[in-house]
Amino acid sequence: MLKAIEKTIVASTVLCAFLSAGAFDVQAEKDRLAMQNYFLTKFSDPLGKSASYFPYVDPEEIKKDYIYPVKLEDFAHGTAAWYRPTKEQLAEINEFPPYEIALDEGKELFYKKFANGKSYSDCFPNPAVRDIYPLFDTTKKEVVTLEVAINECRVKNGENPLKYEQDDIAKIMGYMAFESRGKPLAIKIPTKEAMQAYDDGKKEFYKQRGYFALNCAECHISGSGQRIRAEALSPTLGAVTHFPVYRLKWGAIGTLQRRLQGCIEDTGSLAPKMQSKELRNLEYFLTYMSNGLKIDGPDTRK
Amino acid sequence: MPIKLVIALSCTALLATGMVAADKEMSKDAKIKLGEAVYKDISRGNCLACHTLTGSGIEQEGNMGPNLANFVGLPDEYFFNKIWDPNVDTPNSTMPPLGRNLRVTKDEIDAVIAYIRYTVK
Ligand code: HEC
Ligand code: HEC
Repeated sequence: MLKAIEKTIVASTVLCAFLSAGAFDVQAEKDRLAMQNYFLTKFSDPLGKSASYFPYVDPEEIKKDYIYPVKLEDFAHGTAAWYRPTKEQLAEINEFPPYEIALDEGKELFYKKFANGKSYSDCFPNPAVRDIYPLFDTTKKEVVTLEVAINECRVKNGENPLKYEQDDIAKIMGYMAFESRGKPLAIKIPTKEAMQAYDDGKKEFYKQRGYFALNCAECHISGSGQRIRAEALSPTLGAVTHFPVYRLKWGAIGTLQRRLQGCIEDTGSLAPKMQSKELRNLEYFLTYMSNGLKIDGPDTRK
Repeated sequence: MPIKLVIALSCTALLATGMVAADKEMSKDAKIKLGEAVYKDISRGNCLACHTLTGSGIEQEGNMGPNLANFVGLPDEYFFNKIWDPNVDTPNSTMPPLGRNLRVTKDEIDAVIAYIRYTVK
């Protein structure tokens, strides 16, 4: 009898621990599934659903240029998931991927010895960790992006941190992304503070910015599937899977936050600094939205 | 009144009206020209980024917003209010409050409306 009670107590404690550990991400999971559902529905039948989702798009353009239905895993390809001209253009460019040199350089940097004889590979014995970044550091109580982790590794080994604006850090991340290819994104929300960071990131996403009073959603949720001039807008689902990207406009490989800064400036406002709390939290939210999608970085963008 | 003076006066008046008329003609052209610049300039209206306008001949117009040719039957005030601040009528409008946020002046809005009407006609 006592044994049975003991067993129940142990079992329920385990259950409680399990439930409360999982409990912090309940709302985030709802958000993520709603996001998936929105995009799967939107791009299942864009012609039939044009009145609700694409009110101003010429049906002829949908017939000619849209790819549908878009499968969940294909959202990892950004605009190329639904817009044929982008898909074809990208395939053509990637016959000789412009990011290849950066990838080689990134690998070299990753194994290059620091002054103390160690290298990044001592901090990341397995370079394929892109799937768990950004992670919430429960000791520091803040979001740690892969860039920050790379710099922490340097500082721990007596090196100066790299500048977030420069290409080296993106090159190293390019190599790590490449090694992580095929792994599904698996961002965790382990604590209440982590959920707060997620919520702050979500607020950044929906905040009206600049003199155009635009938020991310207007271009990348409702706006996705439409064009701003020739720029076909990518879905939020799968926005991050392929970073870092070699951008033709930059003529270099760059990080997600560099791209985010660009978008924020396009709304007519000043962007927060690289690796500021705002951008780290925004990245945390964005990456969580793509949980389950496979990493396919680095890639190329216009 | 001496006849000469009458003639002189009416001549001046005629000339003046003529000048005013010519001035108006000029300013209409100039207005459309200004309107076109506002419509296309990325640092001002940048309307073409989001809108189609039948007859404009612009390539790769955006399609986030409606074709503006569909609205030319509506009065200037309708356009003006939308361009000044669409959030008054539509709180979550994607269309930016270009007037309220000082991207375009009142005169520039008038000009862009003139350009739209001229283009669609
Ligand atoms: C005025 C419209 C606009 C707004 C507002 C905007 N973006 Fe963008 N964004 C674009 C365009 C255009 C591109 C390039 C085409 C594409 O890939 O979507 C882009 C690209 C991106 C990309 C790269 C996607 C890829 O596949 O490489 C990300 C990520 C992104 N935006 C995130 C954001 C976030 C987060 C915000 C809010 C802070 C935001 N954007 C606000 C227009 C916008
Ligand atoms: C960032 C995108 C964007 C820009 C730039 C933009 N618009 Fe719009 N506009 C929209 C959208 C989207 C709508 C549809 C209704 C809404 O969301 O409020 C709209 C609606 C309108 C309407 C009202 C049509 C209706 O449905 O009643 C008018 C008129 C208009 N725009 C004119 C302009 C003019 C003129 C300019 C430039 C001076 C301009 N817009 C710039 C996105 C834009």
